[in-house]
Amino acid sequence: MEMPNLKIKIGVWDFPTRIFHWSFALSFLIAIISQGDSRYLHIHVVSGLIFFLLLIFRIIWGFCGSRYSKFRSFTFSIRDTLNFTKSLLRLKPISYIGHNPLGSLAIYSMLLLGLLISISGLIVLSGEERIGPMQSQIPFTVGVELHIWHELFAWIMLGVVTVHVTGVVIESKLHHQNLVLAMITGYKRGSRYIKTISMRYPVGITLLLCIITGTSIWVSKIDLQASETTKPFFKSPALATSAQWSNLCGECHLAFHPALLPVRSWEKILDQQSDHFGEDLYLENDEIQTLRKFALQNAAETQLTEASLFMASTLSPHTTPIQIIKTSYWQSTHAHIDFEVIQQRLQINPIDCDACHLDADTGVFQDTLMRIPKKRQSQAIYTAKENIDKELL
Amino acid sequence: MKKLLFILTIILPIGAQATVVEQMLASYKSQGATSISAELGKEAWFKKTRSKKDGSMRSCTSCHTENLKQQGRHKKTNKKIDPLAPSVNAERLTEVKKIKKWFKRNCKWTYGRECTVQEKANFLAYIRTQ
Repeated sequence: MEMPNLKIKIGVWDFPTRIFHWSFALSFLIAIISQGDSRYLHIHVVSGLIFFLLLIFRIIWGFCGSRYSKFRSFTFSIRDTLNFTKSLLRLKPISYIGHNPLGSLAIYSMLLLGLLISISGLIVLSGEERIGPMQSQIPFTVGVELHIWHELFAWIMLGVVTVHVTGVVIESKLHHQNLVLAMITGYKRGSRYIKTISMRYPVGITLLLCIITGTSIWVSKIDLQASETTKPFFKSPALATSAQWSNLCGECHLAFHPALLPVRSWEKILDQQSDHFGEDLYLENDEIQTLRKFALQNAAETQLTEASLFMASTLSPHTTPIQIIKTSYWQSTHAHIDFEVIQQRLQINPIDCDACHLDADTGVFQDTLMRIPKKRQSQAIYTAKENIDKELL
Repeated sequence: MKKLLFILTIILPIGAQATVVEQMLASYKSQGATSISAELGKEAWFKKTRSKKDGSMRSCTSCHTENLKQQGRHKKTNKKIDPLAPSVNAERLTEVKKIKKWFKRNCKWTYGRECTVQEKANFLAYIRTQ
């Protein structure tokens, strides 16, 4: 291995490449951190979208960029890769001014995984969450299926990132060169015979401005602490509403939207109006007909939202639940909530969906419109007058 | 002029209550209710009876409380109920349909049966004094 004898500053990483590199890393990090909690789906999707757009840029730049950013400069033969590996194992890695063969493998892996993550993510968003431009095109089962793959690709990518970081540290130590600094400044020390590059500032600045503008616009729409005044970040399908339904069903409790139970459940509930959880509703025939019609047209089988999709697909056709909170879907999604404590401290019951789900009355139940109530804030239990007073309506 | 209109908006609902209640009492009378008594209405309001459904003791106060000027609470769902007293809530006792409906539903819950015309007359007589 030859250490360059006369070390001068050589431009290696142009400005667009450097901007890309750190933005890409940051967007991936934010996406991984925000993946656990449904309430931060908007953060996850925005960072994921930025991740995807940056990825597309890098691929284009691999053909249009400066010397060491072009794919052409870091496509190595198997022989070169093996030679480099051997030299690394001897702790005397061959010096490459740009990416070395093993580093390149990591990069190509990350680009490929990045594409797989992005595309699968879009499919999950459309198919499972029913959000985005393709929400009605992707079947629900496909969305749910790809969710697992999306996660798998992401964790594998995290593994490759770890390998990449480890490699950078090792090579920095062995070559006595701060490679992290090089990716910030763009310069490495090398022999004067090595070609330097132009930094391509115009493209880089444009890229930076696009990133800042796009991020600012999207982030400005994000409300971290969802409240009654929060505008939904995502455009979910608007479910049908009915004044009769809301008024009649809302007389004693939240008017649960028909999308939360299948047709057969609503039929059973309406047929059994004389014993509705211990009360005889005494609804007139025409009222029952109106309710029945609305329920039949808008029950879970319409499958327009994530909640109705899961409800419809997880219920056994042999069961006819008349309580939403007794369904397996409700139980599994609310298993982590201690309702006893919530009942004691906040007097909120499991049926007060709108205490936590700010869009419960619409029946959509978007992920990012959930919040932990601080006090008894379910509108359903307040009277209409009180709600007007509190401006909660 | 403005003052007159203002006064009218207070009087009219009260007036509306008066006519609706009179209407219903007259109808109950014609169906067999005799000597309508607010006192008896109050007694019945507070009296607890045992439910055949689950053995619990039930009365009107279970949800509407012992003070009609206060807010009530649905026993099961906890939903708040606007005060029943017309002196506090001008919308009470202004709609025949509404009164009939809630008599049906709530008597059924409390007694396991519909109220007799005598009982309903007494209740109305009591509620309107509040």
